[in-house]
Amino acid sequence: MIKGSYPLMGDYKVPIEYLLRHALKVKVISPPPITTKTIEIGSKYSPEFVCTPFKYTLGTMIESIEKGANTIIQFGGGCRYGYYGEVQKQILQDLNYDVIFANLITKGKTSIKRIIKEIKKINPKFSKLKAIYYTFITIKMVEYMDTIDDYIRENIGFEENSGSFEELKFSCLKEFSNIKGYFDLRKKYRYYSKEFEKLKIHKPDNCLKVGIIGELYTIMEPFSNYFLEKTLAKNHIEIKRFTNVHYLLFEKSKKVPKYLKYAKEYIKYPMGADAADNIARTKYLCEENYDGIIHIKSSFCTPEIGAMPIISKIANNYNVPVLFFSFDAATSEVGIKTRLEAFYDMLEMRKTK
Amino acid sequence: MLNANAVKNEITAHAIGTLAFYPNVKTILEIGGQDSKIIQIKNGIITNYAMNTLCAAGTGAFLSSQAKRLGLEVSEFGRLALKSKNPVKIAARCTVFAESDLVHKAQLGYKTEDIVAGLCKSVVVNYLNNVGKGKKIEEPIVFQGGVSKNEGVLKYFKEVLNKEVIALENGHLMGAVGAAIISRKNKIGKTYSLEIDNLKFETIAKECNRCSNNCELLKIYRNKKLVDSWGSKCGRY
Repeated sequence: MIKGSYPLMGDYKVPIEYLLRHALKVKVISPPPITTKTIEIGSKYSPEFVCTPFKYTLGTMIESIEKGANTIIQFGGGCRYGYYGEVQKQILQDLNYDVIFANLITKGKTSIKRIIKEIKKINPKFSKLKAIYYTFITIKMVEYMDTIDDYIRENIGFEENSGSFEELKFSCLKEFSNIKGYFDLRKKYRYYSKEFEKLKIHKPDNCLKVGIIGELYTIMEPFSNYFLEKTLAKNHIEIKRFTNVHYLLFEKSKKVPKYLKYAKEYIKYPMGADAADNIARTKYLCEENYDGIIHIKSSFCTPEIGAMPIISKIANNYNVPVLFFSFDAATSEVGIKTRLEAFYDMLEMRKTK
Repeated sequence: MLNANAVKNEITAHAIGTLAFYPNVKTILEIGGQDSKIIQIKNGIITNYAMNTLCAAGTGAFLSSQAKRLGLEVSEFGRLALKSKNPVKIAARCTVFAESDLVHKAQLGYKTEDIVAGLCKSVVVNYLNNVGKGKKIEEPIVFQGGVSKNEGVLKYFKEVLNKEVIALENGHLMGAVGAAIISRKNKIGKTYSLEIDNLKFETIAKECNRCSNNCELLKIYRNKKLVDSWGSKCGRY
């Protein structure tokens, strides 16, 4: 009996589980939510100077194996993340965990052929036609989720009944995980988009707007950025974030050449992962009169370290403040809070004077 | 807890405090006991700031612990540094390594004042490389925080930056002044009593076992009455 599990990232557990359940016909062991324990386990078995997402994903893998999973699916690419699978497989083997490890992307590259080969390890009898159909639905679901999330980020800071957005999001995700097919998904998406627009908000015209850029996992997994977006929303700030799964899968390859052209006075070649994207986004945010930029990354994220001086230079030219955060397993929460508060105070002061 | 009517963080407080004395200040260098920050100001508005992120090397705590090691009072530390003509180079990227470097240099028989001067200089260089990195430091510059009482550090700031640096007489109190100003400007009035001595505070730490986060919860009692508790990730407390 195959009991599959996967590394957690934000709310994307819903589409991933849907795909595994339907396309591969495996029983899914949902990884437990990320907690302090996850990162403790992850750090214990990881190389010391690996970036933090590695530790988080390894931690969730071990936790879900302990919960009963016997198959792990890992996917990722772009920077060092492309090599995570191999290392994690080895670590799990060394720890004597007897699991099937399906690594859909290796050495940062993948092909349909490889994916099929890896999937056959899990379920040799899977139907390709069905898999294509369910993959399509999953992609659509991710797209819908990301669209809804964008709306939430813009407005959650101004909700009249506190918690209303989160509650609706919760029920929306619950419905999404139980859809019957594409048309059902579309119907539910339309229903929930309307519901979200119906939620009462009180948004002033001159509210503070902040753009969040940075390394992809840290941005998308709220636990690993210490619930940064939530904290900002509590201070009534509109948040703009570019990175989401849909962007990474489908828009990135088209957008990077455009980004390079757009910010050509600052960057000539792509620098790996999202570094070039973030540099262009910085320019965009500055030109769109955002009040501030927050750049977050996990410690030791090399592409972003390369991007940081360029980002500060752009921000200096436009006179927009940037706040840099580097999150690690051992980051002090109070330190983050102090810096965020000061950032918020500063934006407020700049705005009112 | 003490009926404060405004809650502000130290960065804002420091900037506002200094602005009250020097309205045209452009850069504030602040080195305190455990943290150091740089605040850039334009026309009386904070435009950017940075704070030390990882290590406490180059803060007051480091200086005072090294002073103790050399058998000196922190207050005479700065004056002694001024006497030196040949400051020692100290690898002060990291507090722990700086200390071993210092022990080594002391055993080699360097003069105390040269070592002290080297320490002061290393604080300055470390600050500028770490906190002040990539920031334009424009005049007028105000240097404040507890370490600004140290003449040695002040001297090397002037030397390394090659600019005029003002150290305030009450530089170590700017944060408090700022907090007072913010509180004054606040429209909500609250009676504040200076009875801190007579109040009894009790802090109880408890570990929450509801999930595997195991948050450490802090409960603070004033005269046996629960005033506040915090520390949970989920927001239950």
